[in-house]
Amino acid sequence: MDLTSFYNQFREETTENMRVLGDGLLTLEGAEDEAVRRAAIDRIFRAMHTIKGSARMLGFEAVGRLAHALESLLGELRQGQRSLDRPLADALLAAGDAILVLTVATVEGRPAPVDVDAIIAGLPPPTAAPATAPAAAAPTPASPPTPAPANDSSAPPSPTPARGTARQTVRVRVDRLDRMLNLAGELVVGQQVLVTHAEQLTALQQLVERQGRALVALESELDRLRFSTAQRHSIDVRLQDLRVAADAARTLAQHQGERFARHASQHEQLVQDLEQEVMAARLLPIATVYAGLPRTVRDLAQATGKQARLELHGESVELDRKVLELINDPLLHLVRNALDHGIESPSERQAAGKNPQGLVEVSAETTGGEVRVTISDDGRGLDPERLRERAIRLGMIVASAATTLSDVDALDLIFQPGFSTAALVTDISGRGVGMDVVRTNLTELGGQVRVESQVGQGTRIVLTLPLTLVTTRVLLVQVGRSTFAIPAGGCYGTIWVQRSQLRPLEGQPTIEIEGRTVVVLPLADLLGVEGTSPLAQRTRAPAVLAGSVQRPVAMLVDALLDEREAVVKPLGTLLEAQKRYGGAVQLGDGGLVLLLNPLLLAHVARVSAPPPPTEARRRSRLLVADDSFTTRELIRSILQSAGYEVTAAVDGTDALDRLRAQPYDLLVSDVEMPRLDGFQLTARLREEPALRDLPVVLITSLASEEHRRRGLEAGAQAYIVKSQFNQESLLDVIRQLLGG
Amino acid sequence: MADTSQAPSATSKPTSGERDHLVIRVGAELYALAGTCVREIARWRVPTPVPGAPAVIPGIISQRGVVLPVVDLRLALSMPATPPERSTRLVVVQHEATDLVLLVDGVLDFIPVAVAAMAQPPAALDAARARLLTAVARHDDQPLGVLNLAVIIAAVREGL
Repeated sequence: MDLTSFYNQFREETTENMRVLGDGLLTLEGAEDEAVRRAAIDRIFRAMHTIKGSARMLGFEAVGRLAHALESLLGELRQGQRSLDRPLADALLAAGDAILVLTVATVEGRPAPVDVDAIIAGLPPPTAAPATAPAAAAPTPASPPTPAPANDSSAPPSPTPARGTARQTVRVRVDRLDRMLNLAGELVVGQQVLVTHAEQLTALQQLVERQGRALVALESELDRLRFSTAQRHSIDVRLQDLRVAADAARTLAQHQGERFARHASQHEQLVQDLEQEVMAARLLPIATVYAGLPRTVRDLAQATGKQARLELHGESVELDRKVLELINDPLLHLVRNALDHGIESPSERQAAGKNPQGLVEVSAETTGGEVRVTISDDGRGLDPERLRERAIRLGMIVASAATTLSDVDALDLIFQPGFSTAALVTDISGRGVGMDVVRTNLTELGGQVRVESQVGQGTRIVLTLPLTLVTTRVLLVQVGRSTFAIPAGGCYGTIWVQRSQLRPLEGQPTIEIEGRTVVVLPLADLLGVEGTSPLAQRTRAPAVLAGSVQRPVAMLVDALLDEREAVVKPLGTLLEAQKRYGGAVQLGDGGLVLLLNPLLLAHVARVSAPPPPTEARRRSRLLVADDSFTTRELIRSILQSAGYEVTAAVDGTDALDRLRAQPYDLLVSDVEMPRLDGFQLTARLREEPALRDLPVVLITSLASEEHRRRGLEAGAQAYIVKSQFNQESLLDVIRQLLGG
Repeated sequence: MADTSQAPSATSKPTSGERDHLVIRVGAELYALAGTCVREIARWRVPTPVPGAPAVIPGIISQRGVVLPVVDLRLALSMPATPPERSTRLVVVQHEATDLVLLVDGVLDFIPVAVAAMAQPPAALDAARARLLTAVARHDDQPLGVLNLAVIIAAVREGL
């Protein structure tokens, strides 16, 4: 996770919450009405509580500690164990100011300008009633916040100095960016149309010139003929008219042609720039995927009894969001592998004269249009001989072939499906599904994986990735024995065509869709591929809808295989003339699939309005309820990048309304919320038949056993404490609850 | 006569020294490709067919992330195509801005061919085939046709 944007959000949110504190305290001092006073105390308490929760989540330890101290005091105030006098109000306001100053300083990467411990010591001591403290989990300064930033987790959370000087930013939803990228892509297609128009204008110009030459020829021909004076005069007048019109036509054609060509080329430049800018807006620092690694290494080292240090380099290297998403798992897998298979046990390392503590290094660097991510370890390395033996044993190669296999090729064996070098299948790695998946993921991205190793010295795995991806959403369809990709932007959905629905119209089979007549055409015919119509043997077949208003078309295919984002590659200069293809899409297994040209499809068929809904692949829909903007967005972003469709609710009541209005698969909720808290919300859900079985995950800073029990009693399936929060565990829980 | 007037067009280079050539087998005949244009030699794998492309292009392959068209040199040289064998190879070549893969029945050797030993293709040769050659040399007492990549590419383009 790149936490930078959350830091800024947190600063804004804290500023707002401090205003709530100030206003609330003023209300308390002035108000007599008990109900008003109660509401004000509740409001302040929640504000402080939110700050505490968010600060802990972001690893702002000092802010969290101070907020916790204030929250305790406010808790006593709420319980009526303490009354608000002037000194207490002053102390609260001063401490609130300190929180704000501290937050801003931490966000901007400056050292703490105030002494937190002195401020806490200066606060009125808690009354002797410890059981009523709202949060039992006092943060211990020795334990680092769990979702630590990518740097060394033993260091205090000192943000990088660059953060404060960062340029102004604005948060944009990812789907908006994607939409912008799509629109930019549409413009690129439109640009191609402009180029065609320009060519037509040039052709027109040539025609006009030819016409002019023909006119001159005609004139000289006529000059040689004999006419009466009257005839000659009449001809001259006509010729003069023609000449004038021809001149005007030529001038106009030439001017318009030139102007249009100039405009088209300027436009092309702009469209390219726009596309690049939008692409750049999708770039995120690789630190986002580094975030989970330190914890992984620590846990794994503990589980395997090894000693290892993780070094991360190049955190600021930026990659397309899509690329980051796709390398997240491979990177995690490779780091696990490095530790599990690479690094030896401390005793083994000592015997080999190495530092008992192994080193796993992950670095990223940009070179040209590529990013190179290297995962290296100083472990035992890969032994080509052992790899050969294993490949023979697994029956992947015959013994004679193994001997001729070069060391480099032998190392490449680890990318074979089902190949794993761990003698024992462990829980951690060695399931043999890893390396081939890594290669598959990388190939799909248009990247590469390379492995280098020295026995006894260590292993280096180099991932080469494209900086940005021009991905296109494509539909993979099967026609005969071949697979083709259709740009999703060029079609409007998929349908099943029943043979019994077919009605011949003007010699063509058609069907009725939403009251409109649609021509049914096998895609095989369009491509000139041999094969019988999918409807020849079967009573129904899938079809892709495309078409113009005048001529909607349902293109019959043998099967709809998949819908996915794909990197489109050009076919090269030799096949340029094959206008029907827009390029080729590489599948994970290295196979190629031809992409049908969207322009060609547009010809066959352009927009049939209104488009029928596309059968989108169903993603799990989650609702996140949290009154803290920072926490809400943090969780939302974690869940979204894990591929879930996420909606947010600002409190329990809002969540309940949304859950009643639309179906959701799971609820992630905060406990402390205005109007309806997490416990109440859960209890309410359990009373409603339609929502009774909805899985609920409560996330809270209330860590006490009693609260946990209350949560589970209310019917929550899981209870995650903010101070122990880490995105992996949240995602694991959600995956389990959604049934994998 | 037309053959001889076409073929030497690409051979107006200095006629001294030796040039490295890749000797390939197409059917039972040996041909040579200028070493400077050969990028890589790969084992046979099934190309993805491109419906609508001429038969001489059996499909496309992805080599190191780049999509390349495969040109069946046997068909280009008007020979019958045979099923792939163990010796079948894909030769990745480049000519100016065009990258392509030549499907050949075998790759024999990388040898220097003396420029002086390169003769004009005999007039008796089939016109369509002679057009694709820049010269004829000898390799181990066998005739060796030196292929003209520019003309091969042009010929494939014509068929599109």
